[in-house]
Amino acid sequence: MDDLDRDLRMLDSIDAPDLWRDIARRSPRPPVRVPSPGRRTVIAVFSLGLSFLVLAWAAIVLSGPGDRTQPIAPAPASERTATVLGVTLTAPSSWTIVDLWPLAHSIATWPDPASSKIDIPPDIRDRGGLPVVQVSNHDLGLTSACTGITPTGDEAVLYVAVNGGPYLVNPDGSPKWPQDLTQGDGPCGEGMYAYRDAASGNVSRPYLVFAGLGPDVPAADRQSVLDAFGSLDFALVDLLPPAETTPGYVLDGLQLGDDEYTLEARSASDGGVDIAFVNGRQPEVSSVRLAGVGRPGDPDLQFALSGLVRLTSPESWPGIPPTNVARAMFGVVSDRVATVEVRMPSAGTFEPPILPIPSSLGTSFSVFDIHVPPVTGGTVVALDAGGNVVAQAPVESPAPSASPLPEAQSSLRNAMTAALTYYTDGATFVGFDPKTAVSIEPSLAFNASPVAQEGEISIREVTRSTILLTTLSSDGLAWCIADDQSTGTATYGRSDAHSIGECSGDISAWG
Amino acid sequence: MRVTRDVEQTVESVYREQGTRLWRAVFAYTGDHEVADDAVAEAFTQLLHRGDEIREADKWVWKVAFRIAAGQLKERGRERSLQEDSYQMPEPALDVMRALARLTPRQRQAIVLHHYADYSVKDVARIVGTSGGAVRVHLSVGRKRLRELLEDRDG
Repeated sequence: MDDLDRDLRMLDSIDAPDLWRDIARRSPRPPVRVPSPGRRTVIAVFSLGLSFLVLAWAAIVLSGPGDRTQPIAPAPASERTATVLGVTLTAPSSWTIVDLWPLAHSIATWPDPASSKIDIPPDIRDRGGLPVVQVSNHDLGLTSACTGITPTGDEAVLYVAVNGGPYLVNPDGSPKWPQDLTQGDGPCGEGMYAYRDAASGNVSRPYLVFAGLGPDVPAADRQSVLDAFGSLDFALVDLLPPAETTPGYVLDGLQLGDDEYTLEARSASDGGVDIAFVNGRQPEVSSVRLAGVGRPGDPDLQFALSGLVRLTSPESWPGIPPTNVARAMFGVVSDRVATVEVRMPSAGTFEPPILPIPSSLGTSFSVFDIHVPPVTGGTVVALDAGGNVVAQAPVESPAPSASPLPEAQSSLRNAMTAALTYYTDGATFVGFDPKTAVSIEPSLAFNASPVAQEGEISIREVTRSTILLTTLSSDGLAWCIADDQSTGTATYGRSDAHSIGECSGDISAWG
Repeated sequence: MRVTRDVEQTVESVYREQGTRLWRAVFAYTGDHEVADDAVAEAFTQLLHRGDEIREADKWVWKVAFRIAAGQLKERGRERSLQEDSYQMPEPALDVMRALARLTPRQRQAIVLHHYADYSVKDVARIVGTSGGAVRVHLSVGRKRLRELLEDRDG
């Protein structure tokens, strides 16, 4: 039991009333069911201003007599939570979430995008700061809603950007907009605006939130925008360059250990779609992607595995001891596939959810994702609606099209994850040598060489709290990554460094 | 539906086993003892009148109570306002309630159900009607914030 559990046990000291006599005397309210999505809109429109009970009865009437024995109560519709560059929001799963950070990267002048010296060229239409994420009830494409284009019809959108430049504060220093969404006119046009911030200690970063609603937005969708606004959570993270160059659809959010990840889809340059597994706090640490998949005639099943990811606390799977590392698995399946099963004989069978890819990307394929234990052996099986095997592939061998990000950086990141995994076990990096490292991350080769080598990770400056790793990419460039647990600092660089201080260089190259 | 003596005895035993803890959890989530009273009483009343229809009555009643509470909060158009003088409680518990009040509703739900009520991530997702991934996100973000808030209290 940790301190948090102990603190929450304080709730046991609160006197609770004995409600049994009240319960035995009550007559139950009519049960409330979850209406279908189409009916939910109708219900919401007609129930505006009516009481909760009337809404409940409307739901019963409209949902028909077929499910009268189902439970009950105002259950939320299916939701999706995602974190993009430290901004977390929850929205209906049928809505579109777009990671706009690559767009911000192209707007800002690096390497100092978050300071007051942000230089946004005057010919850039997107004046609402540095776009981070937006959610909408329609697929509005991969462009920012903050372009002065007013939402039309029943379109509803919530847009979040790092605030900057002239939009930061009023001349008297006060925030430009209140904390809550307030109607007004601003850089994104007529709509509702709010000022929020991420803070840690004495450091804070301002955010602009814009809600745009077309004239015919149903009340339910308006409420969903407000709910998405209410769900916003801001973490103060480094504004590092994204691994991707264009905005992408966020298909799912995945939590692994302390980190949130998104599964994102973009049009591939050579046809099909690129599926990327992106760290939601450090988007430059996108470790793996499937490139150019989902084209007509492509295999029915293609998938990829991430490197080892450290978990906050040990997780148990049937058949294997508790472990504090895992891998993320994600892939695409054709429209022939109804179910995916990940069969790992030593740990069990898992069934990841299958999620649609927006039709605007022009593929009939869908995606799936799940986190799996770090064991070898097993098969991913794609089944059709009748339970027949459509395709299968061994877990160890991702589809040939799995295309890792630049190999040297990707290897260094995976090597650092292995080092951090080692640190988690003993609260020290001491002892993390090539032999130990390869036992944790067998897909990599390690050495203790003072000169960076292609295809191998050199382990240097190992102390109780620090570690430095270097390697050489195929084009002859040296890369380094360092971690200092005493300060919680991760350092990325492009040099054959022999100390953490030497690990420097053009950090944008890590994008 | 006519409530039989057997059903009443069964539901009362569930209430005696779960009711107090459920009430505290809903109270911690809503910060409003009246909402907690109503949500818990209504959930058990529904259980009483459904009788044998419900399998796993203990999990069912948690799900229903939290959804009723969420609906009431939404209906009243507020997130949460802890009325410090409206319900007497020991100071350490009040500190925890104050800290919980500063989380988002979804973070609060996830923290209370997972860390106080000891439900697994999968069960929390079923209770609040979302995905396991979403619960993990809310737990992770909520835990960090709650620890900071409680450390500030201690500091």
